[in-house]
Amino acid sequence: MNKLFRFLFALLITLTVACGAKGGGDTAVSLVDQASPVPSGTNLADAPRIALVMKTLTNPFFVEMEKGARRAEMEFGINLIVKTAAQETSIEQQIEIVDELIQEQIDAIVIAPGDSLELIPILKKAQDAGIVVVNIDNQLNPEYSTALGLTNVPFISVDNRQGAYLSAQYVSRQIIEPGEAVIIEGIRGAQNAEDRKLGAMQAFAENPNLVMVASESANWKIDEAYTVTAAIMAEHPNIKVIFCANDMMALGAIQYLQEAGRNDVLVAAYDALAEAKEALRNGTLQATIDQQAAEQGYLGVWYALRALNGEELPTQTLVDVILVTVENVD
Amino acid sequence: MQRPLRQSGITQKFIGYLIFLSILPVIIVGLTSFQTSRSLLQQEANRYTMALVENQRDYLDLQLDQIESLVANVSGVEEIRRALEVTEDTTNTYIDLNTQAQIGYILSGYSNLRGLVSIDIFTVYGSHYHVGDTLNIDNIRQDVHDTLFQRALESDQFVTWAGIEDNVNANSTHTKVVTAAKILQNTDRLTLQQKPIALILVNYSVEALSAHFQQVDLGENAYLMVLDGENRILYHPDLRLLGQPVSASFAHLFTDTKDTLVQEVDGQVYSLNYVRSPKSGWVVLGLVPLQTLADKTSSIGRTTFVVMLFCFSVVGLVAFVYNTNVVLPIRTITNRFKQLQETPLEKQVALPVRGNDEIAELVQWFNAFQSSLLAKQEAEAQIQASLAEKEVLLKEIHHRVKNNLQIISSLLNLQMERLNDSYTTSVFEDSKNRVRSMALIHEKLYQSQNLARIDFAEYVANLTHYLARTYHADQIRLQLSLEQVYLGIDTAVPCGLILNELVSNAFKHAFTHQQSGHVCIKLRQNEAAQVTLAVGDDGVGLPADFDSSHVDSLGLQLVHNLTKQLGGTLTILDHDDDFALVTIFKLTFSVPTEREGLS
Repeated sequence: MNKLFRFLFALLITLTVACGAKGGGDTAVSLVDQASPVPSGTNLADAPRIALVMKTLTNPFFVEMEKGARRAEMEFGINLIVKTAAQETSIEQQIEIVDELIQEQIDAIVIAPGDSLELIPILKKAQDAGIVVVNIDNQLNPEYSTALGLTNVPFISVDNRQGAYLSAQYVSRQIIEPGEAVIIEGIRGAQNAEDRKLGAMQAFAENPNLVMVASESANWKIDEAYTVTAAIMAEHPNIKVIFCANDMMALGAIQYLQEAGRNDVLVAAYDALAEAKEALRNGTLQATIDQQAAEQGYLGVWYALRALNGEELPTQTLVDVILVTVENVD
Repeated sequence: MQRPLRQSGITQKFIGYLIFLSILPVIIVGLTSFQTSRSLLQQEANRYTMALVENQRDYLDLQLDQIESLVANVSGVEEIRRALEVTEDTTNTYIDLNTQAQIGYILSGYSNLRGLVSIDIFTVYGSHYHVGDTLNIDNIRQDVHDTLFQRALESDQFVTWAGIEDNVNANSTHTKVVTAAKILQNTDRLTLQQKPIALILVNYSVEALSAHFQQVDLGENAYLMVLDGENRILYHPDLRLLGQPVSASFAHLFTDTKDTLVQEVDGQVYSLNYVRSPKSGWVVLGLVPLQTLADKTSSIGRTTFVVMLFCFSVVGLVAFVYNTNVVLPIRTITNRFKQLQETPLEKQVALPVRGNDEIAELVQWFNAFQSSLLAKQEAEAQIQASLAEKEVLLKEIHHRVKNNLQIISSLLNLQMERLNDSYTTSVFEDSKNRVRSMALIHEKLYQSQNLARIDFAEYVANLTHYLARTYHADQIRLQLSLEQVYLGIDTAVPCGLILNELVSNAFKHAFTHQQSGHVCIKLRQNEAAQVTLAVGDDGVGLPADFDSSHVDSLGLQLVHNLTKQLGGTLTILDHDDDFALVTIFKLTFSVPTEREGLS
């Protein structure tokens, strides 16, 4: 009896084992040769996603601004997404970018708006969706903001009026004979453009020798400035001084002046781009303003992070401007 | 109850049959269904996975198509082409910035593709135009650029899919990207040869691909993997592995355009379904661990196992019941038979009867048999006892008879002593001896084991020696040649009397003229149960006119009568072959078939 049961039991075990064990195919293979994991480029999944929305990709000014923002990204361990419109005038595109960011449920938007009014509705929508909004470079219109209910947006910039004043003053002082002055403006809807115009006008007004004969907008663009300068010079041949609200326009103007052989015209600008500094060195440009674009970018991201953490932030933070001339260009 | 193990009992056979007839089929069905379901499940999983994998390949091809059309569009734009032909020496800051701006505007329009990281155009004259996730393009990986340039140059395809590469822009947070490259060429009007003017690179986000693939559900513990044309990992659920090349042995598995394999990878066995995109040369593979599938079918295995256990226990139970009700009673009966054989007179108890089936009947009739056997054994014992008693009784009778005959002999003897004449004395002597010879028979009978027969040879010896002493025949030598013969009482008494006469006669009459001589007695029995008793002497011999048939001696008359009573024959001879005998009386008779008697 016992022997039989022992035999049966053994049979049972054998069958069970045969069922369970499944041949693992042929030779084993490993997926990778060395298990050295390469850290991927993706940032931490839980880090706050902050978008930096700038006006255009074609102005080196914004390259500097991005660099500052990247510095903040590294330092604070956040996820920075950089978006730009095609041109300074691509306001619609900028609005669309903000809309897309709202869809993607971004945490914060640090924006240098192309227009001081047009962006407010979409930014209000963003704020309603719980997105933190920080304003840099060009100020959003305060009255319109309040009217639409867009509140609590910290603004970081420079005193554009002061900066423009210093830059224009530098060239204005050099005019000792009667002469004409021209201002080439930025986008007319932009507050910073307006402020710079006022600053320049104030500087010109101080010199009784100068008469401002034209104030045209070239919309921040290099090619437009070229054309505008050509048009103004054709009309007013006695121009002594040109203030351009930014370096790109100044470079456009300078290109025309060089081609026209008008080396006597003094040009003052704003932004302190590398190309502008080059122009300072070779004397085609007289003055520009370093508005510490990188700093603005850095502060913008930093404020956004602080706001995400629930901090109260100052409504307005002004960064110092630095007048850059051939003397302190290096 | 000990049973030698080499016997295969009924119960074991029963269990064996049950197993083969019922459990074995169950096991077979269970196993086959287990295997079948497992392989079916595997097949289905493979089909599903293959379909899914092919879908993903199609998705990839779609994305690649979009990028290729993007590249086609970009390379077709007039302003860009013109800008690309601008060489180093014909540029200045204004033109540079202006061109950058113009191209920037254009490229910006194409940069809406989801998942796009950047579009870069590198002219052979060193200019770089870019739109992408960063504006900061002052840090370019020149080695990456050069490698991609070379590969695009050597490739004959419209767009070269480089696979997962380092981002040519070192400043970008996307360190690894999927790169498509294209060389823009012009025909040199002087040499009439194609010369490259620029390299277009489109970087596609690896993260976007990963995000897409991570949503693909292949089932529990199963995952998707994508390899580029250089066998580097384009996608893996473990994002740290992105960009790493797979081991050579792993890459070797994917030789076909589409296939299903079973392979052990890093310690676990997977079912691999893969498909290769002919456009890009990328491989999309789905890995499903077989263990997951096996786990699903393990419930069948478990159920079968449980059922099997149940069947075994049922078999065990049934065998036990069968054992108790059938085999045990049989065994008990067998043992009881054995006991009855070995210790016959021991009292045995009747076996219990259970139920009323064949086994119960068997037990019942066994009990009946046992009791009748025991009854017979008792009766036999009683008979034996009675027989023993009768034997004792018979012995007593023979003893009594012998004693009575001895008394008669003594009485004759007493009477003989009062006689004066020798003739009467000798007559009394003869009578006494005759009685004596009969008493001796009875003595021998009650002495012997077999109360129905005597050892006649011994009797002959005893009687002849007694006669020799009685007749004071010291000078006469007795020669006895006796075979062992057994005679019953009916034969022994007449024989004894005959012998007594013949020997007495020899002692009395044969040696009157001499002092010494021989008396020879021969007793033989042949195979036909014929007994020969011969008494011979070498004395004086018979008178010449001796006629045995007409003899007036009482003794010889007695001999004749007794011989007739025995149904034998008496022969008188005057010589013998063996001894020098002169007178021989030879008696031959047949012994009737012996009754065994109560021995």
